[in-house]
Amino acid sequence: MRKNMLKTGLAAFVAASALVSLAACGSGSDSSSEAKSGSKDGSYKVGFVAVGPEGGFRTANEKDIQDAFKKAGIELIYSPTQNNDQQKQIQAFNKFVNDEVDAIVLSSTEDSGWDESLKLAKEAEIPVFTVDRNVDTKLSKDESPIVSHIGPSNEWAGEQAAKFVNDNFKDGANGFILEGPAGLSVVKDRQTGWDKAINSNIKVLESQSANWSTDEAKTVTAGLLDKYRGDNPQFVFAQNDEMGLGAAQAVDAAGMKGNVKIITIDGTKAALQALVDGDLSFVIEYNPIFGETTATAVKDYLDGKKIESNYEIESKTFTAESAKEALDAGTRAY
Amino acid sequence: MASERKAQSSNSVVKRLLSNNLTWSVVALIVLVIICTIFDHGFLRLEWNTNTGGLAGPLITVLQESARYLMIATGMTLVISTAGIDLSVGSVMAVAGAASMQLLVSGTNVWVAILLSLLIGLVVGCINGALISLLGLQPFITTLIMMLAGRGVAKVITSGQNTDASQIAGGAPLRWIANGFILGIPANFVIALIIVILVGLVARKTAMGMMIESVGINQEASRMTGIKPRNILFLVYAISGVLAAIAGLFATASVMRVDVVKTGQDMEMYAILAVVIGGTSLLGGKFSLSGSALGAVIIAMIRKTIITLGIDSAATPAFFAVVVILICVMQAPKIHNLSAELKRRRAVENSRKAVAA
Repeated sequence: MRKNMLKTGLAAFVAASALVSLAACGSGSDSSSEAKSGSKDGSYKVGFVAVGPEGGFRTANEKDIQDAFKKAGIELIYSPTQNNDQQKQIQAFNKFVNDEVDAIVLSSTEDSGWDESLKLAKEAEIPVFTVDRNVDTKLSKDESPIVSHIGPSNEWAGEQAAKFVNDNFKDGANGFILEGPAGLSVVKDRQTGWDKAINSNIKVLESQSANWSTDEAKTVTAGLLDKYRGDNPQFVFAQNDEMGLGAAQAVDAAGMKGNVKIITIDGTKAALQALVDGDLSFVIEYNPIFGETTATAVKDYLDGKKIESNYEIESKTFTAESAKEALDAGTRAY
Repeated sequence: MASERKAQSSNSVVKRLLSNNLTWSVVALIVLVIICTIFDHGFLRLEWNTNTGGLAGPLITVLQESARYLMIATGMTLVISTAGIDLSVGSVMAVAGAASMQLLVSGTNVWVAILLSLLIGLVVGCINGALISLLGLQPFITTLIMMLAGRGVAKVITSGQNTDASQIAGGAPLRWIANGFILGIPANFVIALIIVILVGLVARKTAMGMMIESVGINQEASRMTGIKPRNILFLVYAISGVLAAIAGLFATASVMRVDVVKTGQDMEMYAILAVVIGGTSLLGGKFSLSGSALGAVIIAMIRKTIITLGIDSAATPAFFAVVVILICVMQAPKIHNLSAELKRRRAVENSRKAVAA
């Protein structure tokens, strides 16, 4: 019995240490950088608080940023989180502040909760560049270390979706919105854009969250089609491609393909293909390729040049024809 | 006299029914269906969908959705009755789903892809089983590690992408498994039901179920009676791995697309909830496969209720939790004995008064 207990204790210890090492891997921070690399020798060290593998968009986006910094000759320390865990991002951010990097590039999973970390960065006089998702902070402009935001506009994307519905249903229509997880800034911004541009004769029967997931979107859409079958739903606005693809399958299974227009945001290859096949009706790109803009902005700022406080990255919209062209060109990275 | 006895016996039947967990699960399921029908008058409607070649309607999608819960809940029931737990089922779903989609995209035959995915589930289950039974590691920690590692493996398999096999023509059989119909009933539900019945037969018609329960009650004692707890432990985790892989195939084949972060997310929790609703003790030593199966359908039904009622997305976890707690309260023996307890107290009170008088 005693031997058994010893064994269990040992096992628990081994398991625990494995966990710790796993966690360490997750934060992926660079412990070898004790000394501060100044700008004296002309080389900068920049910390990248990233999201990590999440899907096609994120992979293309973070690879592009890493490549661009490499090209610009700036050392970029990549620190992804796992499963959208903000706590790990905050830890990585604070570690970068402690290591006194020259600048921090922040791609946050959530828009709030950054005030304390931002204060630390301000005290250490480290400039922060937010990319993709904006950060919502209570700090005034003088207290905040954020010098610039680089990314496509989510509000713009929402507006494009609304405009497409307006143009296609001049006499009004009913439909659904599939949202991302509640509370994300992306979800709010895409919704704001939609609300701003949509005509009053377009009625959203119900907005439901499908958590960015294809599988969940299929279930939710099937449920909504059942529930509102008497209301003649004619459009589904899915806030990302993954959910739009799920909605398309539910629409297809219900035998309503062609009668329900599905609009999605992101512009991944799978969505463009579905657009060509007629499963989707309209895809709004959310352009992930802004590594070069980011690297240039960071370098210019550190070199003492003046930079803009906001770089809005241009995105495209796709219909079946332009999607076919884009796919045939074969240059899409994601 | 005779009528009195009859009344008594029918009374005891009612009593037995009331104290049975299964009854309350059925009641909960019916209540949920009634609530949905109030909100959506067409909730019970069934029609023939010529597009899919099967029945269509809200209840049919519940059955379709419940197939995956049936699989993981069955595996989880066996594991929990050995006083263990398998937290890795959600990740195994993602790994198996990722493997099948990636294999399909790379041009592998669909049946080979299915078999390999199941094999991967089996291997993960066997690793869990080996670590727990041979090395005596704690099930919670072992499967927790596997849960973290599995998600990583899924990402490695697809190189971080959400692999989409919907364009692959050869994937039709897999798509049928998740979306097709057998005699009008969803194929995945029929397959899941057959597997549950097979596991039930093996567990209850042989001594296997009893061995599993005895290991759950006391490993040392069951070893002394000639049962090999190690083999039993290994077996239940291996079974759980395979069943989770099947659930993963159901989940990904439904849309022919794996979502490395979302596929199987939180599934271990749903599996545990289904098992608890089904009346299996988390302390081990007792299990009810039919209860867990009913629990799995209830989980799918709660999710359907959330959509039908149009509950705000921010409030859905809270709604889910409240429903599960209500079901558990309904099943609690303390609640069933409440009336008897009150009667007893009143009697005691009366007798005390009588004495005082």
